[in-house]
Amino acid sequence: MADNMDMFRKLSEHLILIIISFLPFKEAVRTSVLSKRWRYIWHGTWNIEFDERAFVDFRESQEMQASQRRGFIDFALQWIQNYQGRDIDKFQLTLSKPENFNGDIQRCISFAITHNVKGLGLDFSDPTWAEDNLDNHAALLDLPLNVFGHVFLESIKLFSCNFRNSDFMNFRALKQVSFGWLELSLSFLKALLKNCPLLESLSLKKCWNLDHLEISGQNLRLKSFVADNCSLISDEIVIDAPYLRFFKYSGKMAHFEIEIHRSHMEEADLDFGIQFEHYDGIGTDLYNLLNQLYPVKVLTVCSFMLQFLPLGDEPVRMGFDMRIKHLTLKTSVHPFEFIGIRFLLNSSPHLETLTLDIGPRRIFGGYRPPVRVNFNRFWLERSIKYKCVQESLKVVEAKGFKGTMHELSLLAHMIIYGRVLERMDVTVSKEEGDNGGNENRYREIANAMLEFPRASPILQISIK
Amino acid sequence: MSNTSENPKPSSSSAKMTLKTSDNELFEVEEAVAMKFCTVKQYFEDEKDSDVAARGSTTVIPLPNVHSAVLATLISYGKKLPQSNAVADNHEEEETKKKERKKYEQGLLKNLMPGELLDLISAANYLDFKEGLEFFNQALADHIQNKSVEYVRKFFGIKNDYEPHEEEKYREEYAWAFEGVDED
Repeated sequence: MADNMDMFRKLSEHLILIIISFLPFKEAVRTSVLSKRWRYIWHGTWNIEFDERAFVDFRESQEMQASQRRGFIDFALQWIQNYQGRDIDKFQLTLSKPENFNGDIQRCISFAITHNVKGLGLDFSDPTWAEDNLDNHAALLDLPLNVFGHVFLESIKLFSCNFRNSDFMNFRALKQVSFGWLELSLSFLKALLKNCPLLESLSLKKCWNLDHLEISGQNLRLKSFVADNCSLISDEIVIDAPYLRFFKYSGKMAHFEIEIHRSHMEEADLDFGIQFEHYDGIGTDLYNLLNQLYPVKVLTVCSFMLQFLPLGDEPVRMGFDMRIKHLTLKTSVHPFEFIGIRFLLNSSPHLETLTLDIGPRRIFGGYRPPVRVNFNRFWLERSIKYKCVQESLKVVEAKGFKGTMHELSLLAHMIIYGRVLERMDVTVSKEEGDNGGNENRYREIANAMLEFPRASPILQISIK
Repeated sequence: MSNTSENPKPSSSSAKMTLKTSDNELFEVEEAVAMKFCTVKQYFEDEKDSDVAARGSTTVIPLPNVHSAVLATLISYGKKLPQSNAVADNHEEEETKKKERKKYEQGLLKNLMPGELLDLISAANYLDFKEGLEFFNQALADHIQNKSVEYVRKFFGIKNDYEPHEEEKYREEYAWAFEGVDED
């Protein structure tokens, strides 16, 4: 841009502050370097996020980390001391090993409360805690009591921060609740749903001690529910949420009973990556789950589902046409997943975007395909075509491409038969492969796809 | 500049209001859309109290801080938003409208110059047009996310009046905020 007139010259500082407050805190900080006029405006931002991960390097020694953590807290304390603004919208503090910083944390939280914060986020979890195993970690900090007086709080995030269930009922205006690394009881959850009639979004991550999950209630307005690797005493998930739009589940296979409404349900993300056993009938259970989520337009599935979904009573496709417009597959493009991929393509005649999230996945040695197939010719069998590929598929994205034979043949199918395909974006993997593969090699192989015969005259293939 | 002379949607209230821009252009706008501009709403309600004349038919609301090109875009955007007084659509209609709006939004942002974006934000702020302010601000934030300071300066024509050692000092002070940025 050759324009050398400062476009911000006509804007007041107040308006610039409004603009800055839309930026994430880290971006807001950087504006101070734009020019002298911008030096202090960002100080008034009402969107505040203090994240130790920007200061602490977890590869360093514990002492070094502790010292960096101290520097981080000092920065936060000084910042809030100099704060000149009035009410704030969001205050988020992310800090592991909080036990040495009790007083300082109290000061930060009090600052937020006295400035009438609408959304409070406290994350005291430790990034070194593994998410994909069954370890639970007791919370090391209690939520200070003065927070409970702030009854108009609209959004709260508590990770590894204890509180008394009865105190929590003070918050009647909550719209968004996110709990992580906490011990929760089902009775608390039920009370919460009843107590907060405005609740729109609930997220539970790595929570434990719940008997099972039951999300229901009169006048439940919940739009979004996330259950991420929670450990339940009995693997049962009951959802009765007519306004639910978004459902994300990751964890072990469970018995699902889901009641949603076709005019609201939009998107589901199902990840059974942590499931390490399969049993007879699991295919049918997966089918039933997908059946209950019938109206979704956006669906993300994991490799486990691709392998086992077609092993139930129905190996070919869902019994009805699904509305799926955007399908994301977490896959390693392994032959054992092919029949599942075919199943979903058959079931989605209106599919417009297909995203392949390619990476290492758990492939089950005991897998037996429901029908005899030649995996090497699977995608290039001329007699097998997919309605969605020929008639509606517009975009294919492949992330983590390594140029394996199976990746090539799957993508080739899309290029050769995708009559209305507009775009194929391939992003190569940055990982070194076992047999000398690397980014450049992957890119070379990807480039070969540019020569494949194209069914769509407007197809643009990009390789990154 | 264009006047909004499209056929009015047969909604329950097709009362219109006239808005006059800084360059003396007149815009006839449906009340439902104009009411999304809270400044206009305020003016209108004040007028209503003090004036017995027919609603909106003779009142021309002056907007000395808004240029016609900018107002045209904001009105256009306001029309695409769900109207509070419209008859409830069934699900299919709602879906189509949502899709249309997304397409419109994408098209709008694609052709926008940075100066125009700031004008829109400025006007939306002046008009107290909440949805517009949020939309355009978010678009701006999304665009400069993770971009280097140099990029943002160039993009908006901001002149760097720091001494090199000053700038260096501030970059160091907030070193943590400068990690992971696209240097282009």
